[in-house]
Amino acid sequence: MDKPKILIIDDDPDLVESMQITLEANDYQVESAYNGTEGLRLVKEINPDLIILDVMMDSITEGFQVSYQLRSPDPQSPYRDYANIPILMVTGVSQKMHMKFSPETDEDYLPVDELVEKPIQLDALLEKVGKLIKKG
Amino acid sequence: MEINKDLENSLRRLELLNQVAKDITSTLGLEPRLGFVCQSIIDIMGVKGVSIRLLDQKTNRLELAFACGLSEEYVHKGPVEADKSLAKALEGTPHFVSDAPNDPGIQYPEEARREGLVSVLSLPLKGRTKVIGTLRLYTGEKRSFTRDEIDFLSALAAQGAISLENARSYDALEQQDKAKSDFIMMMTHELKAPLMAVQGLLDVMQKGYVGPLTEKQKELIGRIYRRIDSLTEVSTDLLDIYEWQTKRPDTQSIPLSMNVQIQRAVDLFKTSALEKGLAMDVDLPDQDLILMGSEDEVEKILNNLITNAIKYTPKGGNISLALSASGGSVVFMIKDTGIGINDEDIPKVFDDFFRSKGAKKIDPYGKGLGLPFVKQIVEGLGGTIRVKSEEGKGAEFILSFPPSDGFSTHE
Repeated sequence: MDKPKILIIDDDPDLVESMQITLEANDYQVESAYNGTEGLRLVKEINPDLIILDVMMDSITEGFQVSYQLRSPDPQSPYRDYANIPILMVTGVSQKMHMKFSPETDEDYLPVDELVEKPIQLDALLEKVGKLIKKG
Repeated sequence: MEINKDLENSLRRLELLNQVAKDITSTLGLEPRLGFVCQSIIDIMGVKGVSIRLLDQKTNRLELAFACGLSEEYVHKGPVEADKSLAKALEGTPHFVSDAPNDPGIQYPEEARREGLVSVLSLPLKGRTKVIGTLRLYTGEKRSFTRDEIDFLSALAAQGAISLENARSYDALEQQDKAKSDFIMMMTHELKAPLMAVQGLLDVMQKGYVGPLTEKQKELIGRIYRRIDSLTEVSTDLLDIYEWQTKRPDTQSIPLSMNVQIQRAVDLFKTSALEKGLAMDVDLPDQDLILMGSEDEVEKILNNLITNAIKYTPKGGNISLALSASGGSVVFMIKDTGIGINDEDIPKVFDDFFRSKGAKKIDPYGKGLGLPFVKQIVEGLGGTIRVKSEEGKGAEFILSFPPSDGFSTHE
Protein backbone atom coordinates (compact mmCIF):
# COMPACT_ATOMS: atom_id res chain seq x y z
CA MET A 1 0.00 0.00 0.00
CA ASP A 2 1.19 3.50 -0.80
CA LYS A 3 2.26 5.72 2.04
CA PRO A 4 -0.35 8.42 2.84
CA LYS A 5 0.42 11.72 1.16
CA ILE A 6 0.57 14.93 3.17
CA LEU A 7 0.82 18.46 1.78
CA ILE A 8 2.34 21.09 4.08
CA ILE A 9 1.51 24.71 3.20
CA ASP A 10 3.66 26.98 5.37
CA ASP A 11 5.99 29.85 4.56
CA ASP A 12 8.62 29.06 7.22
CA PRO A 13 11.10 26.66 5.59
CA ASP A 14 12.50 25.56 8.95
CA LEU A 15 9.11 24.67 10.35
CA VAL A 16 8.33 22.82 7.13
CA GLU A 17 11.63 20.96 7.44
CA SER A 18 11.00 19.83 11.00
CA MET A 19 7.46 18.69 10.20
CA GLN A 20 8.59 17.01 6.99
CA ILE A 21 11.43 15.06 8.66
CA THR A 22 9.13 13.98 11.46
CA LEU A 23 6.32 12.87 9.16
CA GLU A 24 8.65 11.07 6.75
CA ALA A 25 10.27 9.25 9.66
CA ASN A 26 6.77 8.05 10.52
CA ASP A 27 5.97 6.65 7.10
CA TYR A 28 4.21 9.49 5.40
CA GLN A 29 5.00 10.99 2.02
CA VAL A 30 5.37 14.74 2.25
CA GLU A 31 5.19 17.56 -0.29
CA SER A 32 5.44 21.19 0.67
CA ALA A 33 4.45 24.62 -0.59
CA TYR A 34 5.57 27.96 0.78
CA ASN A 35 2.48 30.00 -0.05
CA GLY A 36 -1.24 29.63 -0.62
CA THR A 37 -1.20 29.82 -4.42
CA GLU A 38 1.50 27.21 -4.74
CA GLY A 39 -0.34 25.12 -2.14
CA LEU A 40 -3.63 25.19 -4.06
CA ARG A 41 -1.83 24.21 -7.25
CA LEU A 42 -0.24 21.23 -5.50
CA VAL A 43 -3.57 20.14 -4.02
CA LYS A 44 -4.84 19.56 -7.58
CA GLU A 45 -1.59 18.02 -8.73
CA ILE A 46 -0.98 15.46 -5.99
CA ASN A 47 -4.43 15.08 -4.40
CA PRO A 48 -3.07 14.64 -0.85
CA ASP A 49 -4.66 12.61 1.97
CA LEU A 50 -4.16 15.50 4.39
CA ILE A 51 -3.26 19.18 4.25
CA ILE A 52 -1.28 20.90 6.99
CA LEU A 53 -1.97 24.60 6.65
CA ASP A 54 -0.36 27.57 8.36
CA VAL A 55 -2.58 30.58 9.06
CA MET A 56 -0.15 33.42 8.59
CA MET A 57 1.86 33.47 5.38
CA ASP A 58 2.15 36.37 2.93
CA SER A 59 -0.89 37.89 4.56
CA ILE A 60 -2.08 37.42 8.14
CA THR A 61 -5.03 35.29 7.09
CA GLU A 62 -3.76 33.58 3.95
CA GLY A 63 -4.34 30.18 5.53
CA PHE A 64 -8.00 31.00 6.17
CA GLN A 65 -8.46 32.01 2.56
CA VAL A 66 -6.91 28.77 1.35
CA SER A 67 -9.26 26.78 3.57
CA TYR A 68 -12.30 28.72 2.34
CA GLN A 69 -11.33 28.07 -1.26
CA LEU A 70 -10.82 24.37 -0.67
CA ARG A 71 -14.10 24.00 1.19
CA SER A 72 -16.16 26.30 -1.01
CA PRO A 73 -19.78 25.10 -1.24
CA ASP A 74 -20.00 26.53 -4.77
CA PRO A 75 -20.70 23.61 -7.16
CA GLN A 76 -18.55 25.39 -9.77
CA SER A 77 -15.58 25.53 -7.38
CA PRO A 78 -12.37 24.33 -9.03
CA TYR A 79 -11.61 22.52 -5.78
CA ARG A 80 -14.89 20.63 -5.41
CA ASP A 81 -13.11 17.29 -5.85
CA TYR A 82 -10.76 18.16 -3.01
CA ALA A 83 -13.29 19.52 -0.51
CA ASN A 84 -13.14 16.36 1.60
CA ILE A 85 -9.41 16.36 2.19
CA PRO A 86 -8.91 16.82 5.94
CA ILE A 87 -7.19 20.07 6.94
CA LEU A 88 -4.99 20.46 9.99
CA MET A 89 -4.42 24.12 10.71
CA VAL A 90 -1.29 25.44 12.41
CA THR A 91 -1.92 28.58 14.48
CA GLY A 92 -0.01 30.84 16.81
CA VAL A 93 -1.54 31.04 20.27
CA SER A 94 -2.12 34.75 19.92
CA GLN A 95 -3.90 34.29 16.60
CA LYS A 96 -6.09 31.70 18.20
CA MET A 97 -6.93 34.01 21.07
CA HIS A 98 -8.00 36.79 18.74
CA MET A 99 -9.95 34.61 16.34
CA LYS A 100 -11.82 32.61 18.98
CA PHE A 101 -12.43 29.71 16.69
CA SER A 102 -12.34 26.02 17.16
CA PRO A 103 -13.32 23.29 14.73
CA GLU A 104 -15.98 21.98 17.12
CA THR A 105 -17.80 25.21 17.90
CA ASP A 106 -17.18 27.41 14.88
CA GLU A 107 -17.30 24.96 12.03
CA ASP A 108 -19.21 27.34 9.80
CA TYR A 109 -16.66 30.00 10.37
CA LEU A 110 -13.43 28.13 9.94
CA PRO A 111 -13.62 25.07 7.72
CA VAL A 112 -10.78 23.01 9.16
CA ASP A 113 -10.84 19.68 10.97
CA GLU A 114 -8.23 20.14 13.63
CA LEU A 115 -5.88 22.76 15.03
CA VAL A 116 -2.33 22.50 16.23
CA GLU A 117 -0.76 25.33 18.13
CA LYS A 118 2.69 26.75 17.71
CA PRO A 119 5.22 25.87 19.00
CA ILE A 120 4.32 22.56 17.43
CA GLN A 121 4.73 19.55 19.67
CA LEU A 122 5.80 16.78 17.29
CA ASP A 123 4.00 14.02 19.22
CA ALA A 124 0.78 16.00 19.19
CA LEU A 125 1.24 16.65 15.48
CA LEU A 126 1.73 12.94 14.76
CA GLU A 127 -1.28 12.00 16.83
CA LYS A 128 -3.56 14.47 15.06
CA VAL A 129 -2.23 13.53 11.64
CA GLY A 130 -2.81 9.83 12.41
CA LYS A 131 -6.37 10.48 13.55
CA LEU A 132 -7.28 12.62 10.53
CA ILE A 133 -5.83 10.27 7.95
CA LYS A 134 -7.57 7.26 9.43
CA LYS A 135 -10.81 9.22 9.46
CA GLY A 136 -10.34 10.51 5.93
CA MET B 1 -26.15 96.41 45.50
CA GLU B 2 -24.15 97.33 42.44
CA ILE B 3 -20.91 97.25 44.44
CA ASN B 4 -21.75 93.85 45.81
CA LYS B 5 -22.38 92.55 42.34
CA ASP B 6 -19.07 93.97 41.11
CA LEU B 7 -17.25 92.41 44.03
CA GLU B 8 -18.92 89.10 43.41
CA ASN B 9 -17.96 89.26 39.77
CA SER B 10 -14.34 90.10 40.58
CA LEU B 11 -14.24 87.21 42.99
CA ARG B 12 -15.53 84.84 40.34
CA ARG B 13 -12.91 86.11 37.90
CA LEU B 14 -10.17 85.51 40.44
CA GLU B 15 -11.51 82.05 41.15
CA LEU B 16 -11.53 81.18 37.47
CA LEU B 17 -7.96 82.47 37.00
CA ASN B 18 -6.91 80.47 39.99
CA GLN B 19 -8.60 77.34 38.64
CA VAL B 20 -6.95 77.72 35.22
CA ALA B 21 -3.57 78.30 36.88
CA LYS B 22 -4.02 75.07 38.83
CA ASP B 23 -4.97 73.26 35.64
CA ILE B 24 -1.57 74.04 34.17
CA THR B 25 -0.02 71.05 35.86
CA SER B 26 -3.02 68.80 35.45
CA THR B 27 -2.89 65.81 33.14
CA LEU B 28 -6.65 65.41 33.04
CA GLY B 29 -8.39 65.29 29.69
CA LEU B 30 -8.28 68.56 27.84
CA GLU B 31 -11.94 68.63 26.79
CA PRO B 32 -13.53 68.92 30.23
CA ARG B 33 -11.05 71.64 31.22
CA LEU B 34 -11.68 73.70 28.09
CA GLY B 35 -15.40 73.20 28.56
CA PHE B 36 -15.17 74.53 32.08
CA VAL B 37 -13.20 77.61 31.00
CA CYS B 38 -15.55 78.42 28.10
CA GLN B 39 -18.66 78.07 30.22
CA SER B 40 -17.15 80.17 33.02
CA ILE B 41 -16.31 82.96 30.58
CA ILE B 42 -19.89 82.96 29.29
CA ASP B 43 -21.24 83.15 32.85
CA ILE B 44 -18.87 85.82 34.10
CA MET B 45 -18.77 88.04 31.03
CA GLY B 46 -22.39 87.58 30.04
CA VAL B 47 -21.51 86.83 26.41
CA LYS B 48 -23.31 84.57 23.93
CA GLY B 49 -20.50 82.25 22.93
CA VAL B 50 -16.82 81.46 23.27
CA SER B 51 -14.42 79.62 20.99
CA ILE B 52 -10.85 78.49 21.43
CA ARG B 53 -8.86 77.85 18.27
CA LEU B 54 -5.30 76.63 17.86
CA LEU B 55 -3.04 77.65 15.04
CA ASP B 56 -1.98 74.84 12.74
CA GLN B 57 1.55 75.84 11.73
CA LYS B 58 1.41 73.86 8.49
CA THR B 59 -1.86 75.13 7.03
CA ASN B 60 -1.87 78.46 8.86
CA ARG B 61 -5.49 77.76 9.74
CA LEU B 62 -7.11 78.02 13.12
CA GLU B 63 -8.42 74.63 14.18
CA LEU B 64 -11.23 74.45 16.68
CA ALA B 65 -10.22 73.19 20.13
CA PHE B 66 -13.46 73.96 21.91
CA ALA B 67 -16.56 76.11 21.56
CA CYS B 68 -19.65 76.72 23.61
CA GLY B 69 -22.77 78.80 23.24
CA LEU B 70 -22.47 78.50 19.43
CA SER B 71 -24.41 76.24 17.06
CA GLU B 72 -22.72 73.22 15.44
CA GLU B 73 -23.47 74.76 12.09
CA TYR B 74 -21.65 77.97 12.96
CA VAL B 75 -18.70 76.25 14.58
CA HIS B 76 -18.16 74.05 11.53
CA LYS B 77 -18.94 76.69 8.91
CA GLY B 78 -15.66 76.10 7.10
CA PRO B 79 -11.90 76.40 7.47
CA VAL B 80 -10.95 79.40 9.57
CA GLU B 81 -8.16 81.54 8.17
CA ALA B 82 -6.62 84.34 10.17
CA ASP B 83 -8.90 87.21 9.08
CA LYS B 84 -7.89 90.75 10.00
CA SER B 85 -9.27 90.43 13.49
CA LEU B 86 -7.69 87.04 14.21
CA ALA B 87 -4.42 88.14 12.60
CA LYS B 88 -4.18 90.95 15.15
CA ALA B 89 -4.74 88.48 17.94
CA LEU B 90 -2.11 86.16 16.50
CA GLU B 91 0.29 89.07 16.51
CA GLY B 92 -0.33 89.30 20.24
CA THR B 93 -2.88 92.11 20.65
CA PRO B 94 -6.54 91.78 21.54
CA HIS B 95 -8.82 92.95 18.76
CA PHE B 96 -12.39 94.10 19.01
CA VAL B 97 -15.05 94.23 16.27
CA SER B 98 -18.28 95.90 17.30
CA ASP B 99 -20.48 94.87 14.38
CA ALA B 100 -19.22 91.58 12.95
CA PRO B 101 -21.89 91.01 10.25
CA ASN B 102 -20.91 94.32 8.67
CA ASP B 103 -17.18 94.32 9.27
CA PRO B 104 -14.86 93.66 6.30
CA GLY B 105 -12.25 92.25 8.72
CA ILE B 106 -14.42 89.24 9.54
CA GLN B 107 -14.10 86.08 7.44
CA TYR B 108 -17.66 84.79 7.77
CA PRO B 109 -19.90 87.87 8.23
CA GLU B 110 -23.03 86.22 6.74
CA GLU B 111 -22.74 83.21 9.05
CA ALA B 112 -22.20 85.56 12.01
CA ARG B 113 -25.42 87.38 11.12
CA ARG B 114 -27.37 84.12 10.88
CA GLU B 115 -25.98 83.00 14.23
CA GLY B 116 -27.12 86.31 15.75
CA LEU B 117 -23.60 87.42 16.65
CA VAL B 118 -22.85 91.10 16.91
CA SER B 119 -19.63 92.07 18.70
CA VAL B 120 -16.55 89.88 18.65
CA LEU B 121 -13.46 90.14 20.85
CA SER B 122 -10.39 88.15 19.77
CA LEU B 123 -7.53 87.55 22.18
CA PRO B 124 -4.17 85.87 21.70
CA LEU B 125 -3.38 82.59 23.45
CA LYS B 126 0.22 83.36 24.32
CA GLY B 127 2.25 80.25 25.02
CA ARG B 128 5.73 80.22 26.50
CA THR B 129 7.45 81.41 23.34
CA LYS B 130 4.77 82.24 20.80
CA VAL B 131 1.08 82.76 20.21
CA ILE B 132 -0.48 79.32 19.81
CA GLY B 133 -4.06 80.26 19.02
CA THR B 134 -6.98 82.52 19.81
CA LEU B 135 -9.72 82.95 22.34
CA ARG B 136 -12.85 84.55 20.93
CA LEU B 137 -15.89 85.96 22.69
CA TYR B 138 -19.13 86.59 20.79
CA THR B 139 -21.97 88.76 22.01
CA GLY B 140 -25.58 88.73 20.92
CA GLU B 141 -25.91 92.51 21.12
CA LYS B 142 -23.65 95.46 20.42
CA ARG B 143 -21.42 95.95 23.41
CA SER B 144 -17.88 96.90 24.30
CA PHE B 145 -15.40 95.51 26.79
CA THR B 146 -13.75 97.58 29.52
CA ARG B 147 -9.97 97.72 29.98
CA ASP B 148 -10.41 95.66 33.14
CA GLU B 149 -12.36 93.00 31.34
CA ILE B 150 -9.77 92.76 28.57
CA ASP B 151 -6.96 92.56 31.14
CA PHE B 152 -8.74 89.78 32.94
CA LEU B 153 -9.40 87.86 29.71
CA SER B 154 -5.80 88.32 28.57
CA ALA B 155 -4.50 86.92 31.83
CA LEU B 156 -6.91 84.02 31.53
CA ALA B 157 -5.87 83.38 27.93
CA ALA B 158 -2.20 83.39 28.92
CA GLN B 159 -2.76 80.86 31.70
CA GLY B 160 -4.94 78.79 29.41
CA ALA B 161 -2.32 78.81 26.67
CA ILE B 162 0.31 77.35 28.97
CA SER B 163 -2.15 74.72 30.11
CA LEU B 164 -2.86 73.85 26.48
CA GLU B 165 0.85 73.65 25.70
CA ASN B 166 1.32 71.30 28.62
CA ALA B 167 -1.54 69.12 27.47
CA ARG B 168 -0.01 68.97 24.01
CA SER B 169 3.38 67.89 25.36
CA TYR B 170 1.62 65.30 27.47
CA ASP B 171 -0.18 63.96 24.39
CA ALA B 172 3.11 63.89 22.50
CA LEU B 173 4.69 61.91 25.34
CA GLU B 174 1.79 59.48 25.39
CA GLN B 175 2.14 58.96 21.67
CA GLN B 176 5.85 58.34 22.03
CA ASP B 177 5.14 55.84 24.77
CA LYS B 178 2.63 54.08 22.55
CA ALA B 179 5.09 54.02 19.66
CA LYS B 180 7.65 52.45 21.99
CA SER B 181 5.20 49.77 23.14
CA ASP B 182 4.17 49.05 19.56
CA PHE B 183 7.79 48.60 18.63
CA ILE B 184 8.44 46.20 21.50
CA MET B 185 5.34 44.25 20.54
CA MET B 186 6.44 43.95 16.93
CA MET B 187 9.96 42.95 17.89
CA THR B 188 8.62 40.33 20.25
CA HIS B 189 6.47 38.82 17.53
CA GLU B 190 9.44 38.84 15.19
CA LEU B 191 11.50 37.01 17.82
CA LYS B 192 8.90 34.37 18.45
CA ALA B 193 8.72 32.97 14.93
CA PRO B 194 12.43 32.06 14.68
CA LEU B 195 12.33 30.69 18.22
CA MET B 196 9.57 28.31 17.25
CA ALA B 197 11.49 27.27 14.16
CA VAL B 198 14.61 26.57 16.25
CA GLN B 199 12.56 24.55 18.68
CA GLY B 200 11.04 22.52 15.85
CA LEU B 201 14.45 21.65 14.45
CA LEU B 202 15.76 20.74 17.91
CA ASP B 203 12.73 18.52 18.46
CA VAL B 204 13.57 16.65 15.28
CA MET B 205 17.14 16.10 16.46
CA GLN B 206 16.10 15.11 19.96
CA LYS B 207 13.63 12.54 18.65
CA GLY B 208 16.51 10.96 16.77
CA TYR B 209 14.81 11.41 13.37
CA VAL B 210 18.10 12.54 11.85
CA GLY B 211 20.27 9.91 13.53
CA PRO B 212 21.14 8.90 17.08
CA LEU B 213 22.60 11.49 19.47
CA THR B 214 25.53 11.05 21.82
CA GLU B 215 24.95 11.74 25.52
CA LYS B 216 26.89 15.00 25.24
CA GLN B 217 24.77 16.13 22.28
CA LYS B 218 21.63 15.34 24.23
CA GLU B 219 22.90 17.38 27.16
CA LEU B 220 23.72 20.36 24.95
CA ILE B 221 20.34 20.20 23.28
CA GLY B 222 18.78 20.21 26.74
CA ARG B 223 20.63 23.42 27.50
CA ILE B 224 19.57 25.05 24.26
CA TYR B 225 15.98 24.16 25.12
CA ARG B 226 16.24 25.88 28.49
CA ARG B 227 17.56 29.07 26.94
CA ILE B 228 14.86 29.01 24.28
CA ASP B 229 12.21 28.44 26.94
CA SER B 230 13.37 31.47 28.86
CA LEU B 231 13.32 33.60 25.71
CA THR B 232 9.86 32.33 24.85
CA GLU B 233 8.76 33.10 28.39
CA VAL B 234 9.98 36.66 28.27
CA SER B 235 8.33 37.25 24.89
CA THR B 236 5.09 35.84 26.23
CA ASP B 237 5.33 38.08 29.31
CA LEU B 238 6.03 41.15 27.19
CA LEU B 239 3.15 40.36 24.88
CA ASP B 240 0.87 39.83 27.88
CA ILE B 241 1.84 43.18 29.34
CA TYR B 242 1.45 44.93 26.02
CA GLU B 243 -1.90 43.33 25.39
CA TRP B 244 -3.11 44.32 28.82
CA GLN B 245 -1.93 47.91 28.37
CA THR B 246 -3.58 48.32 24.99
CA LYS B 247 -6.81 46.54 25.94
CA ARG B 248 -7.10 48.11 29.36
CA PRO B 249 -9.13 51.18 28.29
CA ASP B 250 -11.81 48.94 26.76
CA THR B 251 -11.87 46.28 29.46
CA GLN B 252 -15.29 45.85 31.02
CA SER B 253 -15.25 45.70 34.78
CA ILE B 254 -17.79 43.30 36.24
CA PRO B 255 -18.44 42.33 39.85
CA LEU B 256 -16.29 39.27 40.56
CA SER B 257 -16.47 37.06 43.61
CA MET B 258 -12.90 36.95 44.90
CA ASN B 259 -13.85 33.78 46.81
CA VAL B 260 -14.61 32.03 43.53
CA GLN B 261 -11.54 33.44 41.77
CA ILE B 262 -9.18 32.38 44.54
CA GLN B 263 -10.68 28.91 44.87
CA ARG B 264 -10.36 28.45 41.11
CA ALA B 265 -6.69 29.50 41.15
CA VAL B 266 -5.98 27.21 44.11
CA ASP B 267 -7.61 24.27 42.32
CA LEU B 268 -5.47 25.01 39.29
CA PHE B 269 -2.18 24.98 41.22
CA LYS B 270 -2.92 22.46 43.98
CA THR B 271 -1.43 19.55 42.06
CA SER B 272 1.84 21.25 41.20
CA ALA B 273 2.19 22.40 44.82
CA LEU B 274 1.56 18.87 46.07
CA GLU B 275 3.98 17.42 43.55
CA LYS B 276 6.64 19.72 44.92
CA GLY B 277 5.82 18.64 48.47
CA LEU B 278 4.15 21.90 49.48
CA ALA B 279 1.03 22.29 51.58
CA MET B 280 -1.46 24.84 50.36
CA ASP B 281 -4.26 26.14 52.53
CA VAL B 282 -6.86 28.72 51.80
CA ASP B 283 -9.01 30.71 54.17
CA LEU B 284 -12.09 32.23 52.54
CA PRO B 285 -14.88 34.08 54.36
CA ASP B 286 -18.43 32.67 54.22
CA GLN B 287 -19.64 35.79 52.54
CA ASP B 288 -18.61 36.51 48.95
CA LEU B 289 -16.27 39.50 48.69
CA ILE B 290 -16.71 41.34 45.45
CA LEU B 291 -14.13 43.09 43.34
CA MET B 292 -14.90 45.13 40.23
CA GLY B 293 -12.57 43.97 37.49
CA SER B 294 -12.15 41.48 34.68
CA GLU B 295 -11.62 37.75 35.22
CA ASP B 296 -8.58 37.88 33.02
CA GLU B 297 -6.88 40.49 35.19
CA VAL B 298 -7.68 38.81 38.49
CA GLU B 299 -6.49 35.50 37.07
CA LYS B 300 -3.20 37.06 36.01
CA ILE B 301 -2.66 38.50 39.49
CA LEU B 302 -3.46 35.26 41.31
CA ASN B 303 -1.63 32.97 38.91
CA ASN B 304 1.48 35.09 39.06
CA LEU B 305 1.59 35.28 42.85
CA ILE B 306 0.83 31.59 43.36
CA THR B 307 3.37 30.50 40.73
CA ASN B 308 6.01 32.60 42.49
CA ALA B 309 5.12 31.17 45.91
CA ILE B 310 5.44 27.63 44.56
CA LYS B 311 8.66 28.41 42.74
CA TYR B 312 10.43 30.05 45.66
CA THR B 313 9.27 27.80 48.50
CA PRO B 314 11.43 24.73 49.12
CA LYS B 315 9.96 21.26 49.60
CA GLY B 316 8.08 20.75 52.84
CA GLY B 317 6.99 24.38 52.93
CA ASN B 318 3.60 25.92 53.16
CA ILE B 319 1.59 28.41 51.12
CA SER B 320 -1.45 30.04 52.64
CA LEU B 321 -3.98 32.29 51.01
CA ALA B 322 -6.54 34.36 52.84
CA LEU B 323 -9.33 36.70 51.87
CA SER B 324 -10.99 39.12 54.25
CA ALA B 325 -12.90 42.37 54.44
CA SER B 326 -11.19 45.14 56.34
CA GLY B 327 -12.63 48.60 56.78
CA GLY B 328 -14.73 48.13 53.66
CA SER B 329 -11.72 47.08 51.58
CA VAL B 330 -11.23 43.63 50.12
CA VAL B 331 -7.91 42.28 51.35
CA PHE B 332 -6.13 39.30 49.83
CA MET B 333 -3.00 37.81 51.34
CA ILE B 334 -0.68 35.13 50.09
CA LYS B 335 2.05 33.95 52.41
CA ASP B 336 4.75 31.37 51.87
CA THR B 337 7.55 29.84 53.90
CA GLY B 338 10.01 30.22 51.03
CA ILE B 339 13.38 31.88 50.58
CA GLY B 340 12.01 35.34 51.29
CA ILE B 341 13.53 38.63 50.19
CA ASN B 342 16.26 40.54 51.99
CA ASP B 343 15.56 44.02 53.32
CA GLU B 344 17.67 45.70 50.70
CA ASP B 345 15.76 44.07 47.84
CA ILE B 346 12.23 44.54 49.18
CA PRO B 347 11.76 48.03 47.67
CA LYS B 348 12.96 46.74 44.29
CA VAL B 349 10.80 43.67 43.80
CA PHE B 350 8.24 45.62 41.79
CA ASP B 351 10.85 47.14 39.45
CA ASP B 352 10.97 45.87 35.86
CA PHE B 353 13.67 43.24 35.33
CA PHE B 354 14.76 43.20 38.97
CA ARG B 355 15.68 39.78 40.35
CA SER B 356 16.99 39.13 43.82
CA LYS B 357 20.07 36.96 44.33
CA GLY B 358 17.97 34.27 46.01
CA ALA B 359 15.51 34.21 43.13
CA LYS B 360 18.31 33.95 40.57
CA LYS B 361 19.75 30.97 42.42
CA ILE B 362 16.47 29.09 42.15
CA ASP B 363 15.56 30.18 38.62
CA PRO B 364 18.53 31.60 36.72
CA TYR B 365 16.43 32.30 33.64
CA GLY B 366 13.57 34.34 35.12
CA LYS B 367 13.26 37.84 33.75
CA GLY B 368 11.72 39.83 36.59
CA LEU B 369 8.61 40.96 34.75
CA GLY B 370 5.95 39.13 36.78
CA LEU B 371 5.67 41.23 39.95
CA PRO B 372 5.88 44.61 38.17
CA PHE B 373 3.05 43.43 35.94
CA VAL B 374 0.99 42.29 38.93
CA LYS B 375 1.50 45.70 40.51
CA GLN B 376 0.36 47.47 37.34
CA ILE B 377 -2.81 45.40 37.17
CA VAL B 378 -3.57 45.80 40.88
CA GLU B 379 -3.15 49.56 40.61
CA GLY B 380 -5.22 49.60 37.45
CA LEU B 381 -8.01 48.05 39.52
CA GLY B 382 -7.59 50.83 42.07
CA GLY B 383 -5.83 48.60 44.60
CA THR B 384 -2.48 48.48 46.33
CA ILE B 385 0.06 45.72 46.79
CA ARG B 386 2.81 45.50 49.37
CA VAL B 387 5.20 42.86 50.52
CA LYS B 388 6.48 41.79 53.91
CA SER B 389 9.35 39.41 54.11
CA GLU B 390 12.23 38.13 56.13
CA GLU B 391 15.02 36.51 54.22
CA GLY B 392 15.01 32.76 54.65
CA LYS B 393 11.63 32.72 56.35
CA GLY B 394 9.18 33.51 53.60
CA ALA B 395 7.29 36.30 51.96
CA GLU B 396 3.81 37.71 52.26
CA PHE B 397 2.04 39.77 49.62
CA ILE B 398 -0.89 41.85 50.77
CA LEU B 399 -3.32 43.22 48.22
CA SER B 400 -6.01 45.67 49.18
CA PHE B 401 -8.85 46.83 46.97
CA PRO B 402 -11.18 49.69 47.81
CA PRO B 403 -14.86 48.91 48.24
CA SER B 404 -16.60 48.99 44.88
CA ASP B 405 -19.82 51.02 44.89
CA GLY B 406 -22.75 48.92 45.90
CA PHE B 407 -20.80 45.73 45.48
CA SER B 408 -18.50 45.67 48.49
CA THR B 409 -20.19 42.59 49.80
CA HIS B 410 -22.68 40.17 48.41
CA GLU B 411 -24.96 37.66 50.04
